[in-house]
Amino acid sequence: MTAIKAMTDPPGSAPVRDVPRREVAGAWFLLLGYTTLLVGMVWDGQWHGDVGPDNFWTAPHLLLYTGTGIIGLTCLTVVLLSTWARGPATSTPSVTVFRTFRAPWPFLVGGLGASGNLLYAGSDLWWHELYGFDIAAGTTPSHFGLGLSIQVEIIAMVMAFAVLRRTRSERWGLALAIGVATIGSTSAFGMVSELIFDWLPGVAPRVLGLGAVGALTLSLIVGLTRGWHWPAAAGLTFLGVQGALALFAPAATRWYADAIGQPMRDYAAGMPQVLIGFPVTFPLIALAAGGVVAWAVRRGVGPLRITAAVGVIAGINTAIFYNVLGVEMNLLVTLLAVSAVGAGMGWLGWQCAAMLRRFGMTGATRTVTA
Amino acid sequence: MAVGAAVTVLLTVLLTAAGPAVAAAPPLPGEIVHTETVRMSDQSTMTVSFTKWPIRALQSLDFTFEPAGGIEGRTGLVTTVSPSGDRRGLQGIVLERRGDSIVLPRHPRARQVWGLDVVSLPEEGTWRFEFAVEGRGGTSTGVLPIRAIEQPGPPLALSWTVALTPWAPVAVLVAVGWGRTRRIRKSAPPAWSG
Repeated sequence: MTAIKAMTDPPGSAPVRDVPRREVAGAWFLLLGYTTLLVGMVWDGQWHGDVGPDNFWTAPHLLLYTGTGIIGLTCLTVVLLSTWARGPATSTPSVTVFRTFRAPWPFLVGGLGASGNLLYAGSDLWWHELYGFDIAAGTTPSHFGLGLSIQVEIIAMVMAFAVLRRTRSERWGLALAIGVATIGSTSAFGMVSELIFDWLPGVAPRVLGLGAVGALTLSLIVGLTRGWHWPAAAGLTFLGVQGALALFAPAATRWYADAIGQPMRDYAAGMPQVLIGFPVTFPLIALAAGGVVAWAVRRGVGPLRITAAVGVIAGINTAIFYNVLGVEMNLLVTLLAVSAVGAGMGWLGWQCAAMLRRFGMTGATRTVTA
Repeated sequence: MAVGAAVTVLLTVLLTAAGPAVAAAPPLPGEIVHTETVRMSDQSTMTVSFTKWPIRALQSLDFTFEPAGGIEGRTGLVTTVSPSGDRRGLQGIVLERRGDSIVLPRHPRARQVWGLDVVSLPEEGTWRFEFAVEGRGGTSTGVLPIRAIEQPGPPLALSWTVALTPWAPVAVLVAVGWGRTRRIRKSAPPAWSG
């Protein structure tokens, strides 16, 4: 009960920073845009597995582009409104672009990510016209660029909520952003780790990448919120997002295939791919992370050691999950490697959180009384 | 009468010719552009059809596999050995496997035959498709060498360079930014409060 109270109580008389409404609304629109994009991406993956034939204008692709469009237009709108705004400048660290446009960092990053996404989507169209639509042949240059651009959009969304964190709903927004970011980051982290760690004998490179994702997102929210509730809340939002996508993607794939007269493949069993895209055990790890933080706060154990430990736990969870699923690996070697990567990502998450907290502290504050 | 007899003979010939053609109508009409016949160990045959020919490395196509006598009551296996010797050369997102072999599914648009749709041979050179067909009379095996010629488009190294180049300045900017914010990160107390 105390926990629920702590998460739901209004902030009382704590000082509340002034953040322009355009940035608050912008953060929620970034979340909407990225969630739309993620739904399209997961649906597209399910489509490639269960049905196969593809073109640039399929419904999953359209959702993907719509999500990117929402992110791009949101960033453009916030930058223009910030540029034309009267009164005190925004407290969010900003950059002046082309000596004219005032761009708060999260929306500059998001705009660049969306632009990159659209450019790489164009090159992806060319790629598929030339080579066809077999996406099992390995990572393509255009998919690599798309994955990294989308990762930049994810970073922007998390930055936008990291700056807020003033009210209950904004903190839930951060927890939700962390939940969708955890699932969505699998693409870029998986591709990059395959590129970097392919030479390591006995190690499944993708497992290292996904272990890094869990370690980074969990330690980030631990560092941003510095309490046990919100890592646990991020586990809850992850559970909701993964569950909803697991229900949606196979059903939507079957419906869409019927609608456009495409037969399902012989071996399409309707198995939700998103359930193996990232460990379903992650919410338990998020809960464990919350427990470790609660213990550390009570015992006065330093946070750097704790975020590294959280990273190690997230990494080990990933290796064991994929080992049980039958992914080829030397378990001992992979556990050692993923623990090292997880600890490093835990440290990185804390460092990024320290910077992002500073982001939200630079501006003027006002005090509200509940 | 002679004309009538001639017409009858002509019709008979045409119908006789058309009969087997209908029965052996190739799958994916209008899409198959090339067919190969594999002699199996039990002296039967396997017809392998392609929607693109010649096959270019990395370019997607559909394959169909049709053993003489049909697929009913049989299980088809194919091991795709790449030119570099990888016995799991042909990848698939959710293909069912038995060891290194792919358990052949029915082709989604031609369910009377086995098939693989939207797949590519990722490596240039000569591939070996090793077939096994299991049925009531035992297992027959056969091998089909398939040549994948040069991939279309620019060399892969060039495509990768073009795709990765925009990220080089991003990596530099992130590294510089990380260095410049060191003071901020160091000044943040490593504590749960604050």
